[in-house]
Amino acid sequence: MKISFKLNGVPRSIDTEPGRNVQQLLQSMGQVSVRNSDDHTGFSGSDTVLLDGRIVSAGLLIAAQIDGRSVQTVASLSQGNGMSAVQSALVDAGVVQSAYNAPAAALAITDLLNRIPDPGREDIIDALGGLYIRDSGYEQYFTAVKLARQRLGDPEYSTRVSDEFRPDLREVGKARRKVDGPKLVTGQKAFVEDRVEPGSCVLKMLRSPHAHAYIHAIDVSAAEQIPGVLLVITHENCPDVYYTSAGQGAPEPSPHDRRMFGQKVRHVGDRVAAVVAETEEIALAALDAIKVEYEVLPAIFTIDAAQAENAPLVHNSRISFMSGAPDDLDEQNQGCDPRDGQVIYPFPIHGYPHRNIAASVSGGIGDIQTGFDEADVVLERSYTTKQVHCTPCENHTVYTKMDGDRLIIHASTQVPWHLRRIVAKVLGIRENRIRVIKERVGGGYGSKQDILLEEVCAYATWKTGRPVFFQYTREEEFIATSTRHPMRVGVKLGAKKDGQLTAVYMKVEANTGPYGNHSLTVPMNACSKSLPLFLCDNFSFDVTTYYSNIFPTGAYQGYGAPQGSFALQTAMAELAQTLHMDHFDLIEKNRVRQGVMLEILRCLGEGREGVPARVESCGLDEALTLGREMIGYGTKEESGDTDHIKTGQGVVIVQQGSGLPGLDQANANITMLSDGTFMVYSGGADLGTGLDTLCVKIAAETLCCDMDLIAIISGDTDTTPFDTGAYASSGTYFSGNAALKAAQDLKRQILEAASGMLDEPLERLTLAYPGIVQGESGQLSYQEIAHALERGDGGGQITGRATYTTEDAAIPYGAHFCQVDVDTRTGEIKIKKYYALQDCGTPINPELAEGQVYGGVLKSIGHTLWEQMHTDQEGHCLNPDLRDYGVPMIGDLPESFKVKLVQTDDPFGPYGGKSVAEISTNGAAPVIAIAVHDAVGIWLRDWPFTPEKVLRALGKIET
Amino acid sequence: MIDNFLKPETVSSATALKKEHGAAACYFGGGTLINNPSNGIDCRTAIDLSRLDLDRIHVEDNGLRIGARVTFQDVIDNPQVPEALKRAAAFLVSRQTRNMATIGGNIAARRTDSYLLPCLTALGARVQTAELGEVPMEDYLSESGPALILDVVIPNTRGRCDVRRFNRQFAGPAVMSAAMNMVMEDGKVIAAALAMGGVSPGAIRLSKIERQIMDGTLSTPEGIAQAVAQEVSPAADLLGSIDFKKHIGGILAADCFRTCFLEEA
Repeated sequence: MKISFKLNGVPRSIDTEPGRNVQQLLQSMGQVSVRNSDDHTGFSGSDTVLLDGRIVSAGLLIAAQIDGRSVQTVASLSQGNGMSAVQSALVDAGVVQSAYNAPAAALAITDLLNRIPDPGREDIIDALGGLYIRDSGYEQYFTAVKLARQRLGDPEYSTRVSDEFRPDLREVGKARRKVDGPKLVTGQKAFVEDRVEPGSCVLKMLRSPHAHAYIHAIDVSAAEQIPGVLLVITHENCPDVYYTSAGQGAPEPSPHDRRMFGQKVRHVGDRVAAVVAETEEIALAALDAIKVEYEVLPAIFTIDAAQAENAPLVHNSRISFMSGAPDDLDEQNQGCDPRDGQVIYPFPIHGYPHRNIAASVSGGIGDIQTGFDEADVVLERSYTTKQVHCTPCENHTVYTKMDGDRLIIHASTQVPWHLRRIVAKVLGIRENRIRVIKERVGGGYGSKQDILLEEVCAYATWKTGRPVFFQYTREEEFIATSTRHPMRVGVKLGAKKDGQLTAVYMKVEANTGPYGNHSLTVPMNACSKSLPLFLCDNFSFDVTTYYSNIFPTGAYQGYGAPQGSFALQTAMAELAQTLHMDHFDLIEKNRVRQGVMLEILRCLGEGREGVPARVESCGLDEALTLGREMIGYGTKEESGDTDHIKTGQGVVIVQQGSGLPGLDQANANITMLSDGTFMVYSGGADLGTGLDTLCVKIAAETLCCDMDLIAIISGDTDTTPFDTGAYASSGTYFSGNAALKAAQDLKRQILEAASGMLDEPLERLTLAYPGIVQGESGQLSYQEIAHALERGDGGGQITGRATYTTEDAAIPYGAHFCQVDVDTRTGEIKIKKYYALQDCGTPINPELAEGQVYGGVLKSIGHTLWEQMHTDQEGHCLNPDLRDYGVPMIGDLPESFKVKLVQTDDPFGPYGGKSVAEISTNGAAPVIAIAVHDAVGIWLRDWPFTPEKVLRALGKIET
Repeated sequence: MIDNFLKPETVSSATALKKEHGAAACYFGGGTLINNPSNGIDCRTAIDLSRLDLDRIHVEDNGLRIGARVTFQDVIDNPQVPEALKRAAAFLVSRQTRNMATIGGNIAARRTDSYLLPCLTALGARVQTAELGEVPMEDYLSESGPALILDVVIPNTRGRCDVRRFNRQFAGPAVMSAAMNMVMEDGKVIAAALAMGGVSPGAIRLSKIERQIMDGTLSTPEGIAQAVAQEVSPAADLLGSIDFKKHIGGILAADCFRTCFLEEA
C-alpha cells in the first residue's frame, strides 16, 4: 500500500504494509525519539506523536491510518540545535534525567499549552496522564510547565527551580543546565537502539515455559534450516563457562552459578535457546521451529518451600570454590546431578546450595542475650515483602558489532567495566578485544547492574561476525531481568521503660530465585543500612538467602535496605506503642548522631571484614526538626467531611551509603585542549542522574571557569579510565571525587606551566574566574597557557589524572514524614502529605538531586501500595505489563509532595557531597505503615498494603 | 497483522465487505483495541469506518446522537454530552488514547472493565447498528454477533446520573464500577437505573435492586451496599477476591445512590 502523509510538515510517500506499526515505521524513517516501552499497548507514552495536531500513541496506530494526515514528532518543536521553550523548561526544571520519555513529555506539554495557556494542576495531570516516568517522579513537571509558560512569552525568562547551596561556590550547589539535557529532550540519537545500523541481525530468545525442568532433548535442526537464520545457541554449543550476572567488584561475593545456557531451566522465562537471524520475523519463526522436550521437576517459590525437608534442589550442582573450600566439599558433592551444572564460589559466603541456601551470614556486637535480659520490654515482629520490579522505561537492550578484530558493545549498563570483564570471561577472549560503550541509559535502578543479555549478543557477534541487536520486550523485562528480593524480616527489640534500646536483632530470610547474583549483599544490606541508624550496645543479625524458582532477583535501588528499613523502622514504632511513648521521642532517644563511632560496621562488610566508621556528617537534627514543623507532626488535621476517612501521621529515619569504601574505585582524567578548554574523561556511568553534569561542575569549580568550557566523555572502556560503575550510591562520592582530584591535579600542572611563563613562584599564583592564572606580575589565560604548552618548544599537553579509593565513609541520612487518609469503607490509603528531608551533604546538582528523591520516594510508594509481580501456581507471571503490574503515574502523586535537601558538609565528599538517590527508597513502606496505624490502629506488616488487606485487618470483610 | 485496509464509502458497502470477508475482517474505528497486541485480536482485513460520517455529535428530538467514531476526548469536550458520560470517558486517563479510542469501539469490545458501558446502560442509551436497527444497550450487549455500530443515542432524561469507578491506581484497571440514574418526584424515586461493571463482560443491570429502590424497600446507602454485594457475582482475580469485589461494588452503588438522591432531593 502506498501512503502519503506529512511528516513534520514535509510531504512523504512510502510503500508499506497497511498494518505496519507506526511507531516502528517512524523509527525506520529516522524519527528515533518515537520509542516503544510498552509492547505497543498504549500505556507509557514513549511513542507519543501529534496526529493532525492531537497527541496520540504511534504504537497504537497502523500505517494505513496516517494516510493523508499530518504527523509531528519532537523534531517539529525546535530548529537547528536549539530547544523550544518547553524543552528548555524541562531541562532546567531537572526532569530530563534518564529521559527515555523526555521527547514525549515535550510534545504533551506543548499540546497542553496550545490548548490551555495557563494550565492548573489538574490540567497538567490530565495532559501527562498517559506518560510513564520512573526516574524523577512527576512532581517537578509542575515546575517545568510553569517555567515553559513563562518562556513562551519571554524566551529569556529564568527563575530559581530549587534551593541553592554553598554561596561560597560558583557552580556547585546551584541549578545548572544538565550537560546532556538538550540532546535528550530534543530526541537526538542517544540510546543503544539509536546505534543500530541497517542490515544488522536480530537476536531472539526461546524461554522456558516451566519453572523447573531439565531439557531432556532439544532439536534446532528445523530452525537452522530456515533461510536467514545465522546461528542457534543452546546449552549444547554455548561456552562451558560459569559466571554470575552480578556486575560487582571481582572477586564477586556472588556464586558463579549460571552458564550462558544450562541443561536445567530454573524459572519460567529462563533461557533455552537464542536465535540470530537477518530479521525479527525470521528469528521468531525459528524460535517456533525449535523442538524441546522437558523433564519437568517440582518447583519451589517461597522461603518456606525452600527450607522444607526434602525440598527440590534448585542447584543440585557440583560445588567448588576458587579459594577457601571447606573440608567437607566432597561430601557435599555426593549425589549432585551433572545436568545441574556447577556452582563456583569465588570465596566462602556460607552458601549451601544442596540445602537451597545461596549465601548466609551472621554477626553482631556486644552480647545480644544480655541485652534482652536487661530489657524491660521485648518486642518481636515479622515483616514480609513481595517481589517488585525496577521497570525502567527503556527495556534491556544491547547492540554488538565487530570493528576489525575487536568486539564493540553498545550497552545500556550501569557497569561498563564489569560488563567487559564478564563478557571476556564468557567468550574466552582478552579484554583488549572488547570495547564497551555505555550509551545513555533510559532507566536502570539496579536492573542494569547485571549482565543479563549482553554476553549472549556479544557471543553471537563474535561467532557470526555480524552486528546483532537484542532488545527485551516488556514481558521479558518482567520475567528475565532482576527484581527486588522478596524477604521475610524478623525483628526483635529490647528496651528499657524509658525507651533506651538494650538489644536489636534482625533475622533476614531472602528469596534470591533461580540464581545467586547479589545473594549475599542485597539481603545483608537489609541490616547494614538499617541497624546503624540506632545506637545500642548489643546488635545481632542472621541473614540467609534461599534459591527458588521465582523470577530472577538482583539489585534494585535501595539494594535490600527498603525491606530492612520497613521491618526495623516499623518495629520501632510498634515498640513505641508498647512503651506508650511517642514514636518521634523514641527515635530521638536512640538515633545516630554526628560524631558517634559506628562499631556495628565492623561486622557489616560486603563480603569482607568491615571497618568501623565515625559519623562525620549527619543532618538528622535539622531533618527531624524541619520535617516535624512542615507536617505539623502531632497536630494532624482531619480531612474528614465524612466519618469513614481517618487521618494518620508517621515519621521514620533512613540512611544509605556513598559507594563501597575499600571496594570501589573511580578514575578520571581531565585534559587541557588547545584553546584552553577542557575535556573530562570519566569512568563514571551516568544513568541519567546527572553524574556527568556533576563531574563537569566540580571541574569548573576547581578550575575557576564556566561549565561550558568543559566537555565530558564517560563510561567508554576504550576512551575513559576504569570505574567500578554506578551502583551502591557511588557516583557522587567515587566518580565525583575522581573528577575533583583530577581537576586538582590539572590545576597544579596549569600553575606550574604558568609559573614558568610568568617567571613567578607557584605560591604567588592562583586560578581565577573566568579561567585565568593570576600572578603578581600579570595574568595568563588558559588559552595562552595551552598554546605555549603545545608549541614546538612547549612542555606538552597537560592532563590531570586521579584515582579515587578510600576507606572513609560518607553516610547520607534522611527523615521522611507522611500523612495519610484511610478510607475505612474501601480500604484505600491516600497519601495526603509526603515530605522527604534528605541530607546528601552538599547537594551538588540540587534540582537533579531533588528529582532523584522524588523518583525514589514514588518508586517506594509504588512498592508499598500497588506494585507486585503475581504468579500462578506454576510460576507464570500473570501481570507482565506496566498497567496490571501497577507502576505509579502522575495521578498517583501524594497531594502534597515535598523534598527538602538538608545541607551538611561532609569532609570526605567532593565539595562536601554525599549520595542521594538510593536512600530515598527506604522510607515509604515504614512511614506509610506507621501513618496507617496512627489513622486506624492496624499494623500492616506485608507490602503491598492493598485495600483488601486493610479491609480484612479492619474486619470489614471476612478473613 | 492487518494486510488489507478497506475504506468503504457507505454503510451498506461496509456491511457487504464484512459479509464478503467473514471472520477475518473487523470493523475498524480508532484502532486502539485492534492494534493493541495484548488483546490478541486476529484481524487480517480492516473495514475502516472513517468515511461513513460517524464522528458527529448532535442533538435530536429524542436525545443526543453520538456517532460510533466519536473519540473519548470528543465526548469530554462536547458541551451537549451529559456530565456523567464525560466523567466516564475521563476514567481513561491517557489523553493519547482518548484522542484515538472511540465510543463505538468501547461498546463493541464489551470489556468487563469498560469505561463507558455502565454509564451508557444507566443512562438508557440505545445503540443504532446497521444490522439490528436501534436497540437498547442491554439488547445489544446480549447479542453475540459483530454488528456494525453506527450511533449511540442517549435519550432525553430527567434526573441525575452518577458514575463511580474503583481503581487501586490512577491508570490501573477497574476493580468494579457503577453507574446510577435516578429520577425523583415529590421526594419519591420514580425511576432508577443501576448498572455495574467489573462483574462480567459488558455491564450488568441490577433490575431487582432498581425496583427495590423505586418501591422504597431500599432507601439507604447502607441498604443498597448490602443488597448489591449480595446480588453481584464478580470473579476473583489479581485485583481482589470475590468478597472484596462484592464489598466494593456495594460501596460504589451506595455512593452513586447518595449522590443522586441528595442532588435530586
